[in-house]
Amino acid sequence: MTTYLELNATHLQLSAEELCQSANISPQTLLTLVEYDIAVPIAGSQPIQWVFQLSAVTRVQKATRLAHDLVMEWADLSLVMQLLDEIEQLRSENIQLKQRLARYGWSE
Amino acid sequence: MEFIDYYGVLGVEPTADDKVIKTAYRKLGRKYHPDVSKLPDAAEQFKRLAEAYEVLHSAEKRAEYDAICAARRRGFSGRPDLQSHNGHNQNSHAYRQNVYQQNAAGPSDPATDQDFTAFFEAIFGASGARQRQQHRESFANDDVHPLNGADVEVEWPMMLEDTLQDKTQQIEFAIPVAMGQAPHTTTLKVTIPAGMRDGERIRLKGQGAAATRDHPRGDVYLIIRLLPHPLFDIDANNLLLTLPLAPWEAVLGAKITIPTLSGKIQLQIPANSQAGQRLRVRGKGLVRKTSIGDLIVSLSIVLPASVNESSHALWQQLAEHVNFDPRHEWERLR
Repeated sequence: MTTYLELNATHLQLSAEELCQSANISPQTLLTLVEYDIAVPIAGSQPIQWVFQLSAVTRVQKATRLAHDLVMEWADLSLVMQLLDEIEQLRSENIQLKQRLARYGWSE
Repeated sequence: MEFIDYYGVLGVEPTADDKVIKTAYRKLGRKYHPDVSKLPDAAEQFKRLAEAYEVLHSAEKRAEYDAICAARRRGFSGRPDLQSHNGHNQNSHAYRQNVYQQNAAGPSDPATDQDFTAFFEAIFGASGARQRQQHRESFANDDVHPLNGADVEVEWPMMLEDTLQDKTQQIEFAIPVAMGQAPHTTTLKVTIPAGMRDGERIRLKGQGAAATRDHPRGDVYLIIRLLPHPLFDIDANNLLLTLPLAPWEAVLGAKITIPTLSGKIQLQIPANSQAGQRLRVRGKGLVRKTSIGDLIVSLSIVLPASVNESSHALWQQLAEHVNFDPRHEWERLR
């Protein structure tokens, strides 16, 4: 059986409460993650109005795993997440640039 | 059952104090944590590491483990007596179910899909494992009920052409049901909005795994994966196209038919164009929610793979009649 789904804005973003549920974290942990710029709301000035991108779920899960497994302080975690983001972005750029170079016949 | 040298796993002496053990764990943890490491066996290595730390940083567990090591050195078989740690093992099945349901409460967690070794569970039983699980869930929301249905992530490949406008797609995916049962296949028709980027997500609320009793179903997360295009590269909102030109097309100029994502167009190449020069075709890039990117055409000058006699004569004439030093810039650098 095929179900037809109408998409709207809620399919592309999350409220703070939904983020807590999806990532299985407490509201207090979310407040801390936002305070340290690990989770960044895309809209809303008050926690109750906060809206997050869907990618925040995996980001928050990754952050809480790292905090626990590597026994990290929040401030250290913030720096680690920032550096991991940069590595990810550089890897992605590297792949794109290699693809472009391959069009000129260059390969490793 | 294989005896595990937890001190060896952490690379410390059996006499190491708590600080040394913690330092060794953090150092190796940074190397092998699956969220950080790209090593192929990182997840497995980290599980062993975490298990070793679990035992050695707890005074109680470490003493119990040391006693087994001492007995082993005295010639005891080393196999811990399961019955002597009873109570734990009777709960072992219940623990596994608990872990499953915890995982069902949220997307899977590479570092917590705890399968402690048989050696660990034989010594410390399921409750030892459970203690660690509870410690890890100190972040957890008390209000989140583990009986909620599991979320499901589905990677959805899309061609660049399909991102130009809203596209209705039929999506089929498997939803986990319960341990030991075949996954349930669901088919959804979803209109994916124009302008999705690689890695962007769409949440299909309540379409995930069924929950226990009246608890809400999980969600499905569609993760968009843009397939590499044989001709175009992506740079933010712009598309990049490398256009091969014959040397005479670059020198004399030409009108050339080029592909775009929405069909072919004619592009005027100005006379005296250089290799690497870029031409911008406005509005022929990627569609985004609030804007449309451009198509950037990068010129590449290519030569014929082989040259026949008459062509060779023409190149020879060029060489003799054109006063051109392609390395004149080098003169300035000497």
